[in-house]
Amino acid sequence: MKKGMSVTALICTLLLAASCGKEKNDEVVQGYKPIYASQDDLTKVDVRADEPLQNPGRIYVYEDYLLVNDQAKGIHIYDNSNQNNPQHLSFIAIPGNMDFSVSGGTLYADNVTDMLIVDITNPAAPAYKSRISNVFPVQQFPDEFGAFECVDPSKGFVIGWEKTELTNPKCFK
Amino acid sequence: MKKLKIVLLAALCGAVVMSCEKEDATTTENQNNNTMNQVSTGTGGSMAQFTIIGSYLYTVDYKSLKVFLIADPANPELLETINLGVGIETIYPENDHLFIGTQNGVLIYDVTNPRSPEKVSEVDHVTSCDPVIANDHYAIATLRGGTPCNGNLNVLDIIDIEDLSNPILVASRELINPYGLGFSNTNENIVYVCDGYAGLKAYDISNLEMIEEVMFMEELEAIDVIAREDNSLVVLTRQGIYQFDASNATSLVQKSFISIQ
Repeated sequence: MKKGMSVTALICTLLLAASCGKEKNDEVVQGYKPIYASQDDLTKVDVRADEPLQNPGRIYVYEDYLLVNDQAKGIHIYDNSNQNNPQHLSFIAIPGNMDFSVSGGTLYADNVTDMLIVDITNPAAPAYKSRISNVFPVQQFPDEFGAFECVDPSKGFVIGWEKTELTNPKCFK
Repeated sequence: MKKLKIVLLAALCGAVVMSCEKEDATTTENQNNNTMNQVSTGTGGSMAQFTIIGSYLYTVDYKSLKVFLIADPANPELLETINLGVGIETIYPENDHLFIGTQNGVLIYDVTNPRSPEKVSEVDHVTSCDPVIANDHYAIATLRGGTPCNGNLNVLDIIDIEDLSNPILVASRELINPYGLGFSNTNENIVYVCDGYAGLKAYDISNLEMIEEVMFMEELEAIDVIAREDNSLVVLTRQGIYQFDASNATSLVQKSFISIQ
């Protein structure tokens, strides 16, 4: 069923390409391409001391901490007790992560199709607690409108989208 | 079953086609509050798709609203999934209600019974609605247009919600490339608007006949904002994350900057 839906989405998108996109003859345009992960990689959550902030998507304030989602990659935690000088404490690598919330020292975050639960009582050393599998739908198109590289299911699961240059894109949103 | 499939298919196609006329949907984080049982809960920006009210975590994905019970953090539970159609973008909690920003407008849900959100009303709009925030009087949404497939409407919409069952669009103000937004904590008439490449702006909404731009920080490619109770302001930009002292709501003083690498 799920697969059927993905195919359907793809077909719709392709149809749309015809109805909506303008003729682009060998044109290079700004757009989005899927970031893939294999099924094995999807649930691989780990904690790193250091990781550069690259593509922040969400900001979140919890007690004296500032948490920042790095799109499709995970969550940075900063000690923000001195707002003049926030310090990076840790990075929780979560494939596909786009959003999260924190309550009572527990972080809830999306991990592709799953809800991930992480104990951040010690924000310098977040600890995996559990997950609820298969609660979120997979989006087969980017959030942003415009051209995108069509999803090829044989390459794996779509865990996010990155901005790129596309030549003669066939999918549009 | 077959019928269902067809309906789903139609909805999906509809979604994609619709999106053709609209603009995007990046989202923000949301907001919110401490609770009855003294559990400390964080605060997000306006682009959020996750938000916690008390022992309940509400999430939106591109097509549904979900309710999770998190009273026992070791064992959270998915209670309900409510299908909302398509083009769902953000969620913002205020006064026992959820304000959901969609590509067609704003949906308002009552969560007086936190396990079962009940739809109260909706505000439809011709173009895509990005995030929405709300206080006792107004829901405020930004709409962003401008990609090849959709219109060129970029506006701030102010919706009167004194009667939640009958929200009324009362004012609009033109913008350039709007994303997230937030109410000032120091001045209830001030709204911060992240106008993308056109900068961080603040508007005075005390006179809806004449919404005035009272601050403009051109150099900030602003995406989202959190106004904190300690009067500081966290601003997400394309270049990194700024923190400001916002004691004077329209004259921000920079405290720090975390650069992207």
